[in-house]
Order: sequence, then C-alpha cells, then structure tokens
Amino acid sequence: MPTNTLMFNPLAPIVQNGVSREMSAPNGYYDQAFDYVYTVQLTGNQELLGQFIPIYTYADFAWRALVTTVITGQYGIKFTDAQGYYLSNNYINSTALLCTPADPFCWPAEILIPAGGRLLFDIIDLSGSTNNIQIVFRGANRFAL
Amino acid sequence: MSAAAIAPFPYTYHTPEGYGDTFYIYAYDADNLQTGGVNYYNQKIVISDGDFLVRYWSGFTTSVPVAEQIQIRDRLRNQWFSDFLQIQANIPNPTAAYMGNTGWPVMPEYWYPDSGYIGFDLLNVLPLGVPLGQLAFMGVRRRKGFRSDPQPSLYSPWYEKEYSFSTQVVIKSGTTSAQTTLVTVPITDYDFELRRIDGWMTGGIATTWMGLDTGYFKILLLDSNKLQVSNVPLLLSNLFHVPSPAAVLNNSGAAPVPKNFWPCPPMLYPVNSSINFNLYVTAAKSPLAGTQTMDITFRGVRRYPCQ
Repeated sequence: MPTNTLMFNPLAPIVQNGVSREMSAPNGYYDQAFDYVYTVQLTGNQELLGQFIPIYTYADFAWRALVTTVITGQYGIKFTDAQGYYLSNNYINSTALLCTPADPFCWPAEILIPAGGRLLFDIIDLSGSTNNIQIVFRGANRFAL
Repeated sequence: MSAAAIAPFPYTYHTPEGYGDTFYIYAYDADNLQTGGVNYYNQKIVISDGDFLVRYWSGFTTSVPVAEQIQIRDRLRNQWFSDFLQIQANIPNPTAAYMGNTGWPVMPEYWYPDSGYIGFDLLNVLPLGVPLGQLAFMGVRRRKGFRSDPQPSLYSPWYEKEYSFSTQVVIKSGTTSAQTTLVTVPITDYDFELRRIDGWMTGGIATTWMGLDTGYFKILLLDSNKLQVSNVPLLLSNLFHVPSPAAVLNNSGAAPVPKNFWPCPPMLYPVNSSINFNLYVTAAKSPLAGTQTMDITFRGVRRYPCQ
C-alpha cells in the first residue's frame, strides 16, 4: 500500500499520537485537560450522601473518565449528572470501576458539568473497616472562545 | 474492496503551518531528592530548543516511588489537578503499583513554550537515598521550520512492510554508572520507520521485560542525526514497551497492562544511517554485579520503493 508520511503510529493509542484542543472541544470552545480529585476516609460501613466537588466558576468541566488512585477496601458509589439525575439505580461496587490511569473507566459520552456546578455522588464503605479512598475525575476544563 | 468502501481515517491532527513535531521525552531524575519524608515544591524541567506538547506522563512509581503525592502545573503555573494526587500512599493500596507505573494520558495535550518549564510539587518524597525514581513527560517538540516525524524518504512512492532490527547487548560485570556502553544498529537496504522498542534480559538478572522496573539501566536514544530524543538518559521503564502478558511471563504482577508505545510519532532512520543509543548502569546498581545480557528489538516498518 503506497503511503505518505502520516504523523501517526498505528501501534500506539490515539492519545499518544496527540489529541489537540481542536479535536477535543466543539466549535467555539477549547479544552484544557484537568482532573478533579476527591479524597475521603470512610469508617466501616459508613454512608455519605450528597458528596460533591464544586466545579470552578471559570470553566465548564467535561467529565470523561474515572481513576481510583487509592483504595484500601471495597466501596460503592452512585453518581449523578449536573441536574442531579442518578446515573445508576444503585451503588456500583468499586471493583467494577477499578482500572489504571492508562486504561481508565470511561463514560460512553462525556458528562458536562457547568461552571459553578457540582460533581455529585453518594458513597458507601463496603469493607466494614476504615477505608482510605481517592477518586480522580478525569476530563477537561472547557472555555468559551 | 473499493476505495469508497474504506472508512475515512478518523485521526485529524494538524500541526500548525510551518512547524514540525518530533518525538521527545523530558525526564526528571529524582536522584537529588535524597531526604525522605520531605516536601519538594517548585521542581521543574526546563523546556529548551522548541515548544513542547505533553501527551503522557509516567514514572511516578518506578523501582522506588518518587514521592507520595504530586501536583503538576501548566505553563502559567495553573494546577493540572484540583488537589494533590495521592499515588503512593503509605497505606495498603492495591492500585498504587499501577498509578505511576503505567502512566497517565494527557488529553487534550498540554503546551509548554520554549524556555518555559514543566513545574511540579512532590510531597513526602520517598527515595530515602536510593536514586532510582524518574518522572517522564512524553510528547513532541514543536519547532518552526522543522519537518515532522516521521521524515519522508528520499524516494517516492513507497510501501510499508513489517520489519524489526534486533541486537544483543552485553554489559560486563563491574561496569559503573560513569561508563557508557554505545550501541550502533546499522540500517541496511531500505529506510526504516521505528514504531516500538522491545527489550528483555536474557542472562544475568532474571529474564524479564526491560520495560518493567528493573532499575538497572538507563538509555539515551539518538535519532538518525545522532541527536538525543530525551533531555537525560531514561530508565528503561520509561521507554521500552511492555506487552500485556508481561506479568504472566515474569510472574511479577508489576505491570499487567501494556505500556510505552514509543516513539510516537514514529522516527525515520534512512538507509545507511544507524540507530544509536547509549546504555548506562544506574547509580543505584553501580558497579554492576555480574555480566548482564539483553536483547533489544526495534520494531517498525521498512519502506520499499514502488517499482
């Protein structure tokens, strides 16, 4: 097959070949990679309802993926979108969400949280003992041009 | 299959007019962070000779984790994360081995200007005097007037065919970190486009994929003009590919997911040039105990001219 000098390594993932701001955002906007971090220590079987991370007021947040960087026991979590609409009917076991940063748990489509909004969720410990957890909400700050 | 039946290629990256992107890695050796348990703020890697676009970072959890927590900053010193990433917590954390080891994609990419720097803060540094940790930021250099990787061939048109160059390197017992082992792999017959580097120890140290954190060697890879493609020699775990079944092969469980698909974009080595690289023994393993043998395979495609 005749080729040109396409700047692409077919053995590598797209992100390593490069995803520019133009490729990431819709017209009229540009994206800047950003992650919101949630850190918590749950006691055995503790349930925390209405947990949230406030989104900065200067940019929307396009939430695309999830990485659990710290976990000392199983937990359950139930997310909502920006309108408080639950994304599952019950708690999802953390085992179903575990992954690596190179292979994160991804949403089928990004969830847009408006500037000044909240990442809202309920979380419960399932290990029965003290549980140190850190969850990283991966995505991008979306600025209007 | 007709041409119309072939799906359009979905990758639409555009380098600005007049600029060229070439593969590069900026790395930070944690060798100087000798005091464990201390916070090191405002650490930096200075960007030089062109802009730099970060597409991936890794190395936080190498043989010895660099620190417990990290915050990285963009060119304006804005944070990458709303809070510190607690990657290597001093608590039982089954995910820790993967957080820094397999690397973090950056999407969309972060741009740093020439003469700027990648700044970061390290909390509760962990090396405790063992100089092994190395953070690496992978991406491309963007320079005006340069051609992007992979360079075109002098002949055209061509077609690609899978090809690999393999070499065996022996590093003798007693080699110190001050000594360099220069290896040259001649490129014969046709142009070669490098797309992946595989390597494994075959003697001495237990047989293992070199992209795993053996912590024994560093490599300084050169392009076809004999210019280095990283600012410092890289730990092999920051450059060499690790395939998916590595954990099975090694019974280690250290890296159950594939990683390191470098170089990206691919690099061209024209016919009659050579792949040159320097191997170094890390300070922690110097002088080297026992002779070590390794197989290194440069995988990619040959470009055959269309007759």
